[in-house]
Amino acid sequence: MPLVRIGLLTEGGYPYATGEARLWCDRLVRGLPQHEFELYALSRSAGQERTRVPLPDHVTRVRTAPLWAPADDGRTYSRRERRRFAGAFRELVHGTCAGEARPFAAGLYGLAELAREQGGLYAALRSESAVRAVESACRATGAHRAVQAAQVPDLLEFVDELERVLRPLSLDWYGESGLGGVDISHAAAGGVAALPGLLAKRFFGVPLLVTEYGVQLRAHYLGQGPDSRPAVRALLAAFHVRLAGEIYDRADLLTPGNAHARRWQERCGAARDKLRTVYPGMEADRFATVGETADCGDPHTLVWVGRIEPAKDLIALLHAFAEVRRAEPRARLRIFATAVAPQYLADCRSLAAQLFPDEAVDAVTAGENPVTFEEVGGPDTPSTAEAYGSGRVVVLSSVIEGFPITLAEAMFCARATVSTDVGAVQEVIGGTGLVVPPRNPRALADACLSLLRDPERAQRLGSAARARALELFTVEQNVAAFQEVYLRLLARGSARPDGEIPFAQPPEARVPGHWTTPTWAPVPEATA
Amino acid sequence: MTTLDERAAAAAGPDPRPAGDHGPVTGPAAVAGPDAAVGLDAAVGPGPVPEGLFVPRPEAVSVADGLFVPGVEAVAVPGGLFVPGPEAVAAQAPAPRPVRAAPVAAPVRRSGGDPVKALLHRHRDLCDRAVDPLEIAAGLEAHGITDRTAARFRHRDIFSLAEELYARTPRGEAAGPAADPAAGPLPAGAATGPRALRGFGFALLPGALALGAAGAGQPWAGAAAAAAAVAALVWPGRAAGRFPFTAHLLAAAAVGWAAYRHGPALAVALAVAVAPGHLVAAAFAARARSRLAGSRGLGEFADRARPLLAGGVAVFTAAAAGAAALAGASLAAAVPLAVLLFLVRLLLRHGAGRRPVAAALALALVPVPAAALAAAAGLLVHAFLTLSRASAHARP
Repeated sequence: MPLVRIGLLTEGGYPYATGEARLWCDRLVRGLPQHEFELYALSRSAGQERTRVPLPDHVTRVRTAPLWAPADDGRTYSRRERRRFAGAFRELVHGTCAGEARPFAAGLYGLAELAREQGGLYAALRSESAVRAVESACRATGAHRAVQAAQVPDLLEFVDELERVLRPLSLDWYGESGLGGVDISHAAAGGVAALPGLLAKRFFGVPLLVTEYGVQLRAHYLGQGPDSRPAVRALLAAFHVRLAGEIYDRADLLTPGNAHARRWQERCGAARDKLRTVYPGMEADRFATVGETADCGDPHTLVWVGRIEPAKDLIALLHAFAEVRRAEPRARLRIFATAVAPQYLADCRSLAAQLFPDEAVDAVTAGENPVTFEEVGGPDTPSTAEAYGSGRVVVLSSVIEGFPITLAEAMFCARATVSTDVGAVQEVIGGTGLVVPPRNPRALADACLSLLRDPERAQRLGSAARARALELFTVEQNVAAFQEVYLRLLARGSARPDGEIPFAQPPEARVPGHWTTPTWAPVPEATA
Repeated sequence: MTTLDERAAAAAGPDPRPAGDHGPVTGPAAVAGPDAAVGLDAAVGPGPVPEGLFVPRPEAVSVADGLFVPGVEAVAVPGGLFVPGPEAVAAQAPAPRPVRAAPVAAPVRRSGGDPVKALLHRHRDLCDRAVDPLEIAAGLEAHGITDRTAARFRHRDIFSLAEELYARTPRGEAAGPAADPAAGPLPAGAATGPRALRGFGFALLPGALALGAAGAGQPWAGAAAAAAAVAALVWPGRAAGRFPFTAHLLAAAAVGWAAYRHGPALAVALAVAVAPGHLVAAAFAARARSRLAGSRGLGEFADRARPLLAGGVAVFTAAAAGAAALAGASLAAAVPLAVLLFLVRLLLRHGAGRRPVAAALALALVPVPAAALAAAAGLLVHAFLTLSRASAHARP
């Protein structure tokens, strides 16, 4: 098995303990100990940089750069460099405003080359010539109407934001000892995180692999504040659309995490033959005990697990449960919170108290509410798996959902599920559970009732769900898929300038790393 | 409430499972197959569901506006039609429950011939502020609308639905940015508030120190005043570049040299002028920002910024003359030097290039009476060129 040197590019993620994509990156790196990894991480805040996760030995290098601090190297340009900068920047902004891919790419790489040779991009991007270039591109015919109406503060804000986004261009990662030396650059997200990979591909021909579990472009749209100015929003959106298009166009392979991300990528211009869905992996071992026992949980209990927040629409779940109780008075609902939005939890509690009074079997025992709000980690349920295992049916009532992790976990626990048709739910459940439309408590109640009344069916669905989850959503399949992707990319041969002739250099010939030392031989330093 | 297999025909969307990527996917689906075959609603596959109508039971295949379902009596709900499921019918037979039917009315149902219009109305905010169709698509997805929902609006996917919504959103010509200059994106700066007061307090310090020292007849009064005046220059500036403090060193040399030549009264005058200089600079920055917010083009802003700068310099010149009179220094020596230092401070504060500033300060070192005047005049021209640029007033 060849040893591949992989440059893993993250933004606000992996080596930091508070990152987003931390878990899967960690599992990926630990799952492929036969390869070498180099981490290139962009951090989002000073606080994030404080804590890092421990890294295994085959991570040979970690390079980090702050995305939050201005990268002012104090350099200013001479007249000739200024002209060069103005030309490239004009092209970039023209491509952004007019929505044309080619000038955008030319401008982007022009700036990258200038920054690599001379530095000083910070001062140049804050100069008057940059603002002037943006102004003339905004006023050009064919620009978006919101962009045409841009005022001076809009121009300044856009240039300011552009300087922030283009900071990876000024990094010192692009050398033979940096990203130029890796065999594959693997971006753990799209957008800014993939920018160094784009440049490595441009400068050194390093194949680029982009994994997107959530589409960066979509996150950009959703992350914009309601009071931001229309012209700035239009300009930034145009920039990010072009950037995404460029990444999808240049990347050798894209691995979206689900069909939803895949559709966005296709929409933004990714060719279908470059796309390969790799589902995120989850640790199946945690759920093995619950999933493999014959005990199907309490037959009258519905379980909900997750973060209590408005997007999960617990209100609809409570209303649905009210319907269920009317038909099935013994039913109980246990709500397990992994995290909590306090205000929403209070709302849900008060609604539950209104809908369901405490009940007792006779006049002398203390009452109990059929709906309980519990925390995972309490004395009854020390782990998430036991939370899922406590009921016969697991319910997901979200109105907004990306990749429904709780649903996949419930599948691992071999529980029959009722979920709302949002995000990637249909794709994950794949016919092994019931799906109802979102915001429809009555349909949700009907589905829950049908499963509560038919234990055999619930069991059948549960075991089918577990089989499906074991096949698709384990860490092993995720790691194996990436391993295969790496080898496939490497087998394409080199796109480097020294590897132009087909088959002149087979992949084995340029296997990097210590290929002269067999992996089974003891390393000399270790024995000495 | 159907399983995916059963809905595959009705959804008419692309297969959510990526074709060819995961061969073994068929395994679990096949496992699910038998269940679907014996499940509660397997007897009849769902036919084409009428637009905008959620059918709780696939038995109700023949639902149309006429609504005839054999064996099941239709309940007419004010907002639309409700097809009760079997158990609902069973429940109704002994005692009809009027409460049950109320929450079932879906808003999309029976919206005339144009369901997209209703959708447009519901998401009007989103459509109004969207800058492109993708933003609408992202927003719709965040509201829980999927490709399956889009199919109900006769669209292939959510993107084409978003495109229709974007195209159909009325956009007035006057939908420009808010015309409130005060609420611009740039912070209002040190115009008001405790920070501004504290800043002014600090600016008063050099003058007070210098006046006190001079009044007490201390021999080091001149040196202290010069040092304080120059320190006030360093305070607001940004240090960057290879030699970050060249300008400050040169300024210290110029002030020290002038104080040596014209006596400590000059240094005291400069120190006293720090406070009005601070006020004028803060006012200039605040007003420039508010003019920035009201300008449409860079040229327009430059035209509006130049008179502002001229006014600021004039006010400061008068204040510097007053300070010189207060300290008992000669006006001809003190005022040009004070104006020079004021301009240096403005330029450093607004991030202009350091080379012209250093050149002007070096010129002021020349032991000729008119040197400071010439340096101030030269730097004034440079300031007019630089500070009328919008980029000089961007956020630091």
